[in-house]
Amino acid sequence: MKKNLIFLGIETSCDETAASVVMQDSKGKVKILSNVVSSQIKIHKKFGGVVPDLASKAHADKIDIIIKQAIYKSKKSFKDIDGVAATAGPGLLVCLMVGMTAGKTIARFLDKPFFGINHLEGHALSAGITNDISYPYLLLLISGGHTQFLSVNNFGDYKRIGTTIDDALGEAFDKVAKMLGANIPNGKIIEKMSLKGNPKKYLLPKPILHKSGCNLSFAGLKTAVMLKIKNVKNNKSKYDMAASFQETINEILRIKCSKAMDMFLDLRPKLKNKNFVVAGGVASNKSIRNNLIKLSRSKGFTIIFPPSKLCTDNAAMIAWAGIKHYQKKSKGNFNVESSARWPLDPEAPFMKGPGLKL
Amino acid sequence: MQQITEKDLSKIAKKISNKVKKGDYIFLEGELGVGKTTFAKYFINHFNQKFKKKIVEVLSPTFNIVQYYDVNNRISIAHYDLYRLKSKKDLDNIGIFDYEDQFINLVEWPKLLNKKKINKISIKLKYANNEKSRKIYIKNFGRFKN
Repeated sequence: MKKNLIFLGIETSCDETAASVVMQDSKGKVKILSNVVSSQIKIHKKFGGVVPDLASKAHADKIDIIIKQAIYKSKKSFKDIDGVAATAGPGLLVCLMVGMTAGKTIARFLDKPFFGINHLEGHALSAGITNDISYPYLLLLISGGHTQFLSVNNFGDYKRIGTTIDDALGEAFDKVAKMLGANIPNGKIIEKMSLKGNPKKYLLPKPILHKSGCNLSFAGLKTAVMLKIKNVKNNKSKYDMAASFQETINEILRIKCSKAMDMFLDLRPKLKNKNFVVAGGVASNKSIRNNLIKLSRSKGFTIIFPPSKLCTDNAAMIAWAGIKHYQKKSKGNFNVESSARWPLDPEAPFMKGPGLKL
Repeated sequence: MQQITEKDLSKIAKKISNKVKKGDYIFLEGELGVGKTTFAKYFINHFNQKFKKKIVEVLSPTFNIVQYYDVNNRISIAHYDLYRLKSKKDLDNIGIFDYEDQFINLVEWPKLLNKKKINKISIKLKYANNEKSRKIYIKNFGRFKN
């Protein structure tokens, strides 16, 4: 008889130090027993807006407390753990190493398998924690560090069908927030400012909108905001700019998601269950959410937003990916090393964006 | 100072890519959106072209702080972005400059990086009146002075 599977997940690929305990019971039901994230947002505000102490030392200082808390909150003990998974890449090497070292050490002491997980695979599979979702599905990942369309064909089989060719979407939001003088350079402020602004006030460019497949580009848009903002002084105009920027993003996403859906279906014309998963911090923007819900409806897709605690960087998705690997009869690997660059789909073709004429 | 277009920026990136070697630095300064990552995109891909490698995407390193590009067994480029760092302490904590002698180092927002006696080309980009062009200021340090 199959027993409950309990995994400890650890995530330290960038700013967050996170640990989580996830259980899959004998019937296949998944439960997050704990999900601890050392979000540094409070410190951000206190220090006037920018990450004060991000980086490996911050991770090293916190990792033991975070793991202990995750175990404590899960109401399990270390001896109940069947395996350990930690993010092995992509990310900042010194940060990854903190989580990897902690994870390997714990697994070694427990004499359990260890799994080095690709952070992007964690995001790709996260929808499966809360939703009974069947392969294949289309994934849009929109966060501060990543912006891509993935065709999740099966566990372990991911095809990247589109990517940003410059800035990540979350980054574009953060930087425009900064240009608009927000004291926290956080894209969430754009959503709030937009509510007071006229989205048709400024006409902004939509780079590569009708070329380069479902690849995305935001750098030119960011630059256009920068150039226009120089003449914008009063609050009303700032709100208009925020609203116009958000509206432009929505238009870009509408066209590009539609294109991605077509590309996804081209690969499998007879697919019945058309699922579209939208993950990443930017997916919490309500205007973007509503826009994508509408689009999905018109294209016959069921849209799925994993809960926001699973959208931003977290360790539950890493634990869950570990469980999936374990179930594929993988024995794990203590020799896996941290890797700063680790594309989920190394075969993804480079699609030339305009302007790269060498 | 020179007024340039994006095409000129590519040419400048190519010229500089022929001059640099492991351990060298290129500092990239200028406002948001002015073209620092665009320079990096051309610079890295001129290397790829020279060694008959695939053209690659050069994404903004803002979030990850550093992205590495291996052109071949001998040439690797580290593309840093210190935009999100607040203090010198952050920089020390991350330890990303511990192996700089193994890379050609491209650094955006380099203000916190106080390195003396390095071989460095410093590039400053500014917005010009014409939206499509930029002003560029290039200054050489160390062996590039000669």
